[in-house]
Amino acid sequence: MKLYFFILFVLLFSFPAYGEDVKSVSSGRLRLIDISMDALFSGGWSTVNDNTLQNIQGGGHDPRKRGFTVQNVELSLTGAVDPYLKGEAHIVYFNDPLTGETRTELEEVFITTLSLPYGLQLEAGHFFTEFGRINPRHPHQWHWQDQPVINTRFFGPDGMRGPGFRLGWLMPLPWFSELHIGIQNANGETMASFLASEEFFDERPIGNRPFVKQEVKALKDLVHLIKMDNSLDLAEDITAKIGISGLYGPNATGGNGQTIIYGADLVLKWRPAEQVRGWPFLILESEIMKRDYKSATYLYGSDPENVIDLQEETLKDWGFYAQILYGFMPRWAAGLRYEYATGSGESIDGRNNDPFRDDRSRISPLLTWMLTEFSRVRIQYNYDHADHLPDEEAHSVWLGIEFMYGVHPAHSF
Amino acid sequence: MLKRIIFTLLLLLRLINPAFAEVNIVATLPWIGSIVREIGGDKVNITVLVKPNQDPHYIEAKPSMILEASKADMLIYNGLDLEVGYLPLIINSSRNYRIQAGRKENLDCSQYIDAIERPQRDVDRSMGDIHPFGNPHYHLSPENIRKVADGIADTLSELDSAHAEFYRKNLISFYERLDDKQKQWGSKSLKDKKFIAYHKYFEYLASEFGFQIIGYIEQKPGIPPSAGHIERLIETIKNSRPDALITTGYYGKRGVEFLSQKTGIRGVVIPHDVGADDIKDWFTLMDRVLESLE
Ligand SMILES: [Zn+2]
Repeated sequence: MKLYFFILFVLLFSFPAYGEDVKSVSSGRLRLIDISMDALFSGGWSTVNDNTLQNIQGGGHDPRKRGFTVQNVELSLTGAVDPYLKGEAHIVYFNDPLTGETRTELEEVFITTLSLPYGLQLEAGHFFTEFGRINPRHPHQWHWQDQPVINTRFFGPDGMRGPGFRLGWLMPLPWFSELHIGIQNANGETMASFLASEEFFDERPIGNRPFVKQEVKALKDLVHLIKMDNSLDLAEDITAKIGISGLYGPNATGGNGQTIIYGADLVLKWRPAEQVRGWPFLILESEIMKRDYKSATYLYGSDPENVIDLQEETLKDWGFYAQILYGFMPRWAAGLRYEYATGSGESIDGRNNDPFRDDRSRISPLLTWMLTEFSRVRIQYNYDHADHLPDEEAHSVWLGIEFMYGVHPAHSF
Repeated sequence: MLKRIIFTLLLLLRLINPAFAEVNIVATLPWIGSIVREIGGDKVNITVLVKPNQDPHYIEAKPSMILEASKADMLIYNGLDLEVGYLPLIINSSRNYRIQAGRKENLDCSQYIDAIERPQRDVDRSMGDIHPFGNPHYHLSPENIRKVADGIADTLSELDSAHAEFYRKNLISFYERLDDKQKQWGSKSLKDKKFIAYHKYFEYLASEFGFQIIGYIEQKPGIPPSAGHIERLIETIKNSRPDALITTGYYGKRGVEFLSQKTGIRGVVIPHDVGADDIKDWFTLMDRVLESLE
């Protein structure tokens, strides 16, 4: 039923002839809200079954079912609030691949200041944590159809996001350098490596540890972010961006459980001046990140025969992805992504059997056909090698289609 | 010593602003930079974001552009949504209150011109990457550039009133030069010439110099032509014998070459902005454009 309302809503309000985003054909008019709609669908097959796919395609918007997946249908609403603020909201719909149920997510709703002095910018509301490259970006901004394995492990199926604020400072240096500090709530299903939620731990307990509900008592019970981005034009047609990120906050294992995540990301883009509709291009992207998950001691049970007694232990995990995408002729791009993830410190039933902590690598060639800026078809093959899989490997092929209409916001670099 | 270190640090942080004489201007396109140079002379410092050989329709916002915009006293751009793919992001990310929309320092040059090809009915993307406010390629139109130069001089005089006199004087000498040039250009015999163009890039030029564009290789803006369209176009070309097939440097070259071979009509690549092929300013650009059409 919800889906019907959604479709009705989209038809009524996003249809260019009637929606707010219709471009004025006379002189100025009041531009109140920019609406856009982006839909990602996929179809494919894997050598492993649907239940196993929920683990190896662990991103909430990954293709993750034999047959078809409604990955992500996103409604974006942006506009100027007043002369000082810009507002932005992203509401996401998708189908649960196993039950077919429609799910709605308030992905982001926040304001951004436009004119604070000294190069400062404040964002407040509910938003993606500015960690690395993939996490703060929406699925339609990713080049591959699924999120990197390491992102799924650290930030959960839907990416790390939550209510809070973030201050960005464009530093007065000769090159582009931006510093971000942020604070967000540590609890909720989108705060996987931090206080998380009981539901999340029912599905994907980190290290198979039990969930311990905690209260916020001090500022240290929130998640703290620091991020620095630097960019340089290496040549007229080559631009590099390097970022380092760090997160610190309490985790769901109990009183003194703490998590630190840190990482580095790199992007290199080659765009020759004499391009035809944006082609050719070459984009190299990579992220590496590490998590220290300090689990608290845990003692439970009154019956001395049946006590759960867990020692304090720091579970260490790390991983990276590296991908290269080459736009070789107008409308076409080919890419290759390699990923690796591993860790140390035991999960309760052994790290080898933990689908979100075992040793794993994935190779994903990709071919993209972009009809225009607003629609594309992608075919991707995933070769998975993971300790927890019955044969230690899986082959999957995904064909995805994406289309968007409405006001197309400019892409960030 | 300590004082000096602190001063240098503060200077680095731009907390102290030693009186810089020049107005820091960020212009999106090279031709805008050229007109601003004519009016602003040595009282302005100009940074142009787009390279002369780049297609102005497909520009990506680079962090270095955001950095430039963050330091700008003034932002001057083409408008009519030509920069919609990157400029809003640059303005937002710049955190520079001076260049936000609605302020004098945010100067949309298209406000001074009479845009042609404003859609007379609703448009949508089934018509391709259409320019919804009218044709934005007005920089090859001396009459419109005249108005844009006046608008730039006005705004500069208002924002930097200490040099208002200087900007007015420069505008007058720009007009004198333009009057001379227009006489020279007016003597070119472009009237009654017929062309086939790749993109709707030469419409202002055509209406001012009296030539005709009888067909387009690009069926819909930003969308590669279909085989059927090309076939029909070959027929049109064979029947109406245009004087040339014209396009700009950034795309359409191959299409023009192909059609030229098929039909025997010469293909001409027309420089599209200042800076390419040692075109040093807007006047030279107009000279070259008109030469290549002759
Ligand atoms: Zn155009």
